[in-house]
Amino acid sequence: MVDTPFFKLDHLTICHQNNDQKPIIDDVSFSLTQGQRLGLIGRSGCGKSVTSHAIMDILRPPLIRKQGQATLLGQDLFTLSLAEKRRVRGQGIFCIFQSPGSALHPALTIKQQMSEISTVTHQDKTTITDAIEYAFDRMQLPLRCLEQYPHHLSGGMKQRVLMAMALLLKPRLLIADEPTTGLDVLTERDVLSAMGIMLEETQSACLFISHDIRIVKKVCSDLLVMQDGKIVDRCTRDELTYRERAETTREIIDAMRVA
Amino acid sequence: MRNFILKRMATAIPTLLGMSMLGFFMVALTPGDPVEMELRRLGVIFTPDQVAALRQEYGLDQPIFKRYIDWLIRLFHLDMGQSIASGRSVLEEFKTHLPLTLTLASLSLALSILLSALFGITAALTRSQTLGNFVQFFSIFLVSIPSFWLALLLLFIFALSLEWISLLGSGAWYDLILPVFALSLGSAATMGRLMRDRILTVMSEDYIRLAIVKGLSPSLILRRHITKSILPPLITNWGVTFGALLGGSLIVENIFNLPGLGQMALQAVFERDFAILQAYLLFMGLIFFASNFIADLLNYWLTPHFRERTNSQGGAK
Repeated sequence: MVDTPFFKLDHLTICHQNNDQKPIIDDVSFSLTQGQRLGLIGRSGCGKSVTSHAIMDILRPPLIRKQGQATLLGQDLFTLSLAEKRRVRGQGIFCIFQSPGSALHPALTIKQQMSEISTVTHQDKTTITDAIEYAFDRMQLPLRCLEQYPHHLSGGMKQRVLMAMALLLKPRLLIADEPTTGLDVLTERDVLSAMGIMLEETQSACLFISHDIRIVKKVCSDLLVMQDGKIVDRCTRDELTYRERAETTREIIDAMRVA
Repeated sequence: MRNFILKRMATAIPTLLGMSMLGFFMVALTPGDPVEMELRRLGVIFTPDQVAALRQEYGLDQPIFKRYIDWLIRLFHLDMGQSIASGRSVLEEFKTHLPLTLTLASLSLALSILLSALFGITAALTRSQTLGNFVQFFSIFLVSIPSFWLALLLLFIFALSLEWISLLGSGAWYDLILPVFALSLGSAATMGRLMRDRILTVMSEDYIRLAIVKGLSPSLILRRHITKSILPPLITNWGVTFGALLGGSLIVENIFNLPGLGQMALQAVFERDFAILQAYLLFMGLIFFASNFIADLLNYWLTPHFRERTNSQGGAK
């Protein structure tokens, strides 16, 4: 039972609205089992983030989904009504964006942005307050942050605030889109360990998007390699160094070694 | 907070002083002698001696700089002189005419905001291209129409063709309906376009996407996240617009025959009624300053960033 995929993406193709010559995402399919951590790597601009946006159905206008199907627990996500989509977002699938600096509302306190999650999880005031305090404790965030605005917090703290949100929402699938971009190695370590704690607690499956194979190897058990909008390689963490890997994969590994 | 207010007050002093100077000299140096005008209007046959005596009575025989300083000093005692035409004090004249103009401008601002929200939100949120284009076209159309032309058009339709209202006005509250529309449609269109652009910009921000991804309801996202982001620039715009509406009332009041400040000012121009005009110009400047100041104060409350920056600057001093 554990191994049957609970999330499936089939034949996702995304094009530019006015120019359907060359798809930006070309026939991408993958699936996730309960609690699986899947890494999606590839160079910048290969379509990793666009894939995550497509799953959440928040593509930016000139991009349109040409074909494809996403299923979460048997529900076809793309055919849902707006209200049903809203119910899937948050507790079904939650997404942590790559730039925590712009992901939090600049004019709302952290507390306001945390506690509004109660409208999604249907918790009352005391329950949500307790849950927030617990989440902050787990993410090693000081409680005084709650009264502050995002620009008071460091990049790593903002990222951990997003993780704390995930702790409240307990999504079935968490998409983490380059959560450590722009962070120094120590902060990166803290954020990754916070994410580990969070995933353990929520039992969420995780699609981890990154260009950094070093981090992906730390976090994920399985990997997808993307190149020009196509999945060019799939393997487990241990198979990564095998000789018969696709060219892109080898390229990435070699580049990492030089560095 | 106190620092912010004090600082703004301090910067206001040179501005207001400059405006008072400009207003005073501009009016005082225009050709035409108010005393002669007044006497001529009354149909009195006058001798040069009489004119000289009257000029002395109004202090017009003094050198212009001395008159300015005297005027400024009296201003601090709320004594703005006397209207030559009516013989009443300027303060009295203002008390009579101001309420109507303030009501007109406030109602126009309220209507502008309401209409612009309607325009802006519909244009931004609608996926329908036709509706979007229509709103776009309509707003460009309205922005391009001068308010006096719109006023005449409205009068032509509602007073002459349909005869729903009297051309002369009846002194009832509904006399204000047409002037308010004439004043506000243009600014509503400008503000509506601004609102649409702001909403579209904000909607593509990452924090709005996070709000969507969290699963929040669209109404909560609109009420809380989007509103909080678009409000500051809009409030600044409302502040400027309010000043502009008060100024615009000069034309509209005269077309609709409403006895407000605008009508008072225009009459004062024809009669070279210095005291009234000088006070009017200074008052307009003051209103512009005050409405901008209130807008800044609201923004100060709304944006934590702004609040802290101004506070830390104030603290450093």
